[in-house]
Amino acid sequence: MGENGKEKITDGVDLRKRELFKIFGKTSVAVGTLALIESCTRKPQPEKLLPYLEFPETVIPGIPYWFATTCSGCPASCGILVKVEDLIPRKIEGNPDNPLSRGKTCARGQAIIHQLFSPDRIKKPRLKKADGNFEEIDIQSAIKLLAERLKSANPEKVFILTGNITGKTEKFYLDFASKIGIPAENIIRWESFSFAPLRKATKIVFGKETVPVFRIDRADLLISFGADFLDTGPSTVLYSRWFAKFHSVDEENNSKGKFIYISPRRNLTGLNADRWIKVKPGGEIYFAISLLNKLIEKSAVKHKDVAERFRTYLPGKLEELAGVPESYVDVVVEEIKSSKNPLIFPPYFGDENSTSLAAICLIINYLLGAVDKIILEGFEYTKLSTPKDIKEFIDKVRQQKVEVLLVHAYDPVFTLPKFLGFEEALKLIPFVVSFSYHEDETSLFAHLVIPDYHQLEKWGDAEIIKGLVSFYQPVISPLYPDTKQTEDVLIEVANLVKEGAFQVPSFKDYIRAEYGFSDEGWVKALEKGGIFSVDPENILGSVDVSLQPVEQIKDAIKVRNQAKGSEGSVVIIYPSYHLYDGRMANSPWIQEFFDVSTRLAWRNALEVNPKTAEKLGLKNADIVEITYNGKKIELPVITYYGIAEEVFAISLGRGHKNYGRFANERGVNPLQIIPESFDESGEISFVYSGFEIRKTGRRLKRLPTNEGVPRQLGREVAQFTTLSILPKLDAKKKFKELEDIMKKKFPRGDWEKYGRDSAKPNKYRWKMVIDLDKCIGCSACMIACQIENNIPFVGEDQVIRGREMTWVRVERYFFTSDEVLHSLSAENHKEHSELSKDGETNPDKVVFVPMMCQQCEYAPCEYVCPVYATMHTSDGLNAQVYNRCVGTRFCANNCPYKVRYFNWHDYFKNVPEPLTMVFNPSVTVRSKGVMEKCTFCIQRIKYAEHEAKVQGRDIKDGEVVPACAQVCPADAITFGNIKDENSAVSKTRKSKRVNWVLKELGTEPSITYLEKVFVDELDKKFKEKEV
Amino acid sequence: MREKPNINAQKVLAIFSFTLFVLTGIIYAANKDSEKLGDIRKVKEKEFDFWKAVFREIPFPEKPPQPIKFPHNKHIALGIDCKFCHYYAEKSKYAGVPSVSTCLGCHRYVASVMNSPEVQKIFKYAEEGKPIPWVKVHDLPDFVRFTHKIHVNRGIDCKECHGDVAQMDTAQRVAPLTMGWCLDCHRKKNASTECFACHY
Repeated sequence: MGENGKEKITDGVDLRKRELFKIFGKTSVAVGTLALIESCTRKPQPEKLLPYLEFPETVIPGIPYWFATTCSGCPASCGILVKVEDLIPRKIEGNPDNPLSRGKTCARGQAIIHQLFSPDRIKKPRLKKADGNFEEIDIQSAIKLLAERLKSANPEKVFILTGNITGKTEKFYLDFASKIGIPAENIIRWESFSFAPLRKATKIVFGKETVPVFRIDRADLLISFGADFLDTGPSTVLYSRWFAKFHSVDEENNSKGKFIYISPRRNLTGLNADRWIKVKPGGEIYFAISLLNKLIEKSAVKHKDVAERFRTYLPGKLEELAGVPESYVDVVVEEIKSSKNPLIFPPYFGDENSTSLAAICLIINYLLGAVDKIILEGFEYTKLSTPKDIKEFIDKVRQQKVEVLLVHAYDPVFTLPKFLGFEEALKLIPFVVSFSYHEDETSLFAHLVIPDYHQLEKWGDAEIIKGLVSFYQPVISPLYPDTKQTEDVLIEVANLVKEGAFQVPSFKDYIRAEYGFSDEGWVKALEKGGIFSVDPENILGSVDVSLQPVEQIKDAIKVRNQAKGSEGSVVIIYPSYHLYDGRMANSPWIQEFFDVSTRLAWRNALEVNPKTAEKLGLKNADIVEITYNGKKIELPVITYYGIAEEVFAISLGRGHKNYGRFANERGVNPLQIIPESFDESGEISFVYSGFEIRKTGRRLKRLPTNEGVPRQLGREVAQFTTLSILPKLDAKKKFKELEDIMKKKFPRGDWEKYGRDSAKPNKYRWKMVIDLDKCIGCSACMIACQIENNIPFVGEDQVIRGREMTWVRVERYFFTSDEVLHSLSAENHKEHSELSKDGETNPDKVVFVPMMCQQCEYAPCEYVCPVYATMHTSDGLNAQVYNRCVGTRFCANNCPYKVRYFNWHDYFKNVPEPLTMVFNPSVTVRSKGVMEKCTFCIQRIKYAEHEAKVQGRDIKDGEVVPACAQVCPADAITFGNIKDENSAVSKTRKSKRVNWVLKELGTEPSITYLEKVFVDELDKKFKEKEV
Repeated sequence: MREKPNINAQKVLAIFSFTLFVLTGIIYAANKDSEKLGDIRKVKEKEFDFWKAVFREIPFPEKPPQPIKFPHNKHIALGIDCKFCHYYAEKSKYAGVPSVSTCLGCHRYVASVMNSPEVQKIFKYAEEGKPIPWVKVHDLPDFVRFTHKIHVNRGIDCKECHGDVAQMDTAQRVAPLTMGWCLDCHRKKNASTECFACHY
């Protein structure tokens, strides 16, 4: 019996995964255990269903509404649309009607919603008592107090410190000033990046102070002298779009815009360069002079007679001055000669010579006839003050010429360099009023704090290019009743100081009256987001722009010798892409944003070239002490290929002392120790020498980064090709290759019928194409995905443990030009793999790879899940079912792409109230012990599917756009239904550059990558000259 | 020859099961009055079936007490359509509960029941400016994405899930709202049975 019985048990029951669980489920012990677990964990609690008191007329709960307003992540003022669901703003997308943003945003723009719900906003006005402590008062008494103070003060001694104000907002401030007798010049506009060197240079060269719009999309050769137009330029989104247009390959004509970047350090913009000319810090100007001379010499210029007069002499040999061989200039000259539309991009800021450098760049542009690509009626940053102007203001404070200061700019105490002594000056002013919406350092020094609304609660306008007006409108009613929009406060104050100063009751009415809108027109303009009478895409620079007299220009250009004591190390400070000037640091997601260049989150570090680090005996995560004139800061070291040897770099925007719980004491602010040094225009220098760098002997356990090695080490993750190989590529051949791999993996010929459509035919099959040639690596997709999909931040400690949560991460791989030059023909990939193992040489070619779940058709994760929590859907998605997941993590271990992320803790509990408001109600918030990953934004697919079903039609192409594709300013991501022949994704998949990451594993990814194209001829030319 | 069954093992199993049983009992007893479960639980102790709740056949409670004893049957008898009050059902994922002003829209003028204590409660809520704290009868777990819109528009009658509300006084759940129950219908109607249909 025993033997028979045994047989029965094993035979009768099919021990498949699910059945096994059923058997267990039926045993009484298991039931007991389950009941125990159940009664311990599950606490059923009937939820409440709270209806409105009165239905809002237009709002349907569960249906998102979109409001057009303006972004406040930087002064560029892009138009945005805010998704408001159940009356709460949840997500930001670009406004497609706005010519600047065209439906896109940068990473900062995505995160301003976190600032709105920041737990550390100032909720009530504060008054400083005699003992220095603050006392909370209500808004009306605060307004009265300010009015009384202004009444008694001498208006000549009242100063207003604002950000970049444009359009009618600017007029309002001027009105306010004139109405209570404050002189107009007492309005100081302060932004960290005032673009002063460029403004001064345009004044010198063209006689007009302006921040021009450079039509880089019309160029075919772009040479940037350290201008980071993709990072923190006047309009990141506009330039990203144009850059992608200029720099992406034209497969038919086998051509591509070439980009040469001349600077000692590469930020995001520099990493996108086809050739990085690694000059010494401060050497750019000598390179530019040399370039100007050579262009004239080789008569590559248009205005020859004028040109001749610009010839100058280099004070020495270029090799010594700039650290690059003279022959490099020859190559650049040749390139310029052979290109039709060259454009030189002058720097926005830089070393002490940046004004002169910018002026020389503009002169070269003029001589090359590139002025048609320079729109002089550019961005409205022209009235911004420079640090030198602030210095003058501080002198006035010391002479007791300032009685009242109204601060309505982003934290000047933090953004101004310490050597100016702004902090001390604030203490000398009898009455300082801060209008900050958020805790900040300036508000600590204020005598009265009247909290402003956040930008998303405000009315207003911005006119960043003349004729391009974008409106602010509130997308949520004010969160805190005791806050008030500063402009409204000023109207009330003005009326109290001088009766009837303003006829309008509020700033909203002021704006409306100033533009002269009718009721209907006003609503229409708000719906659209602004008045867009100008589109920079449709305007060109004037060809007959005239130069200032040559001698005058030559007099104005001064080249200062930078060798201020050769002792000590050279340190470059640079603005970081995601923090801008530090204003974004109060968003925890921005804190955990992996820096575009160093890949660090939560802190900044001292960047060193690996070679220099080796020489100095520095290793990653070693803590060093940086000293200048007795002032010290401590930072960990990070090695970075994108920085020249013997140079160090520190990013700006970190090291807050009072900017909320997420920003405080995160990293270091180098502005604390830099010495006094001004450029011709009054901008501070961003390059310093004479720093002492000393090892402390301590080190961090690990740096909070998401990058292991910046090299590919023989793997073929980053797909690239070169311009000379491109014509030989064939899409059909590549698809055949993939098919062969798949047939090899499924030798019995069941490849076609396994998976795919066999189970249940579906009219949709979702695929994505990512064009690596367009991707600029800005990582906006990463943060857009985090916000759309309720991905929590995990904190520095968890990042150090490698537990970061980024469904999309932008991987970055460095290659040497040798690797690219020798290896790459489609046939000998092997050789290239061998070469990439060599990490000794300095790699300077970069490929960015946005890496998310590849939604493999034959997904390795699916085979190993014991509970079927991940499986394939009929529309080709690799589903992850959170409620079924038991957290074995087998799937993550079996995933070759490492795109599955595990909830080691209840990370969502890190998110404090009211920041939880941003959570997307259409996506489950995952708890501890659950695996999660990219789902191609399934909630958006389902929404469109339901919509289409209800209307009795199919989903249209372009109706479903995942958050990453939606935000991408370079338009690198295409998503759609492959079964629709005419869909955008079907068309892009026909490109010659199609490829798949790790295709040899036979996973058949649903994401197709289009290879990055390197300009090998350019490298060859440089190589020849080197020898 | 068969070996004697191992008595020790049986004993261990018995003790283990007994301990489990006792533990379960203790935890249940401890939880019974726990404040975490809210006031509702205390009131409806009798109607709450522990074992049913454990096996999730019926998430508790079936017919929770409501702040106002709203008689669905009387309203439906008057010929009021479901969507008159739950008027997002066709448009949104939520069906919606009527606002206080919707209730008052009629009740301000219906003299016959004006003095009923339950109707007076509405006036009180309106006066205080507070929403009526209805208790959810049909509560799905947070990892389920149910959409009324697609179901209503595809011709699923309210009755199929909510029962014959015309016969009910206060709302009562008749369906178990378990995944198996959902899938039964999805299979019958040839709707999607993929996990991603509801779980994302």
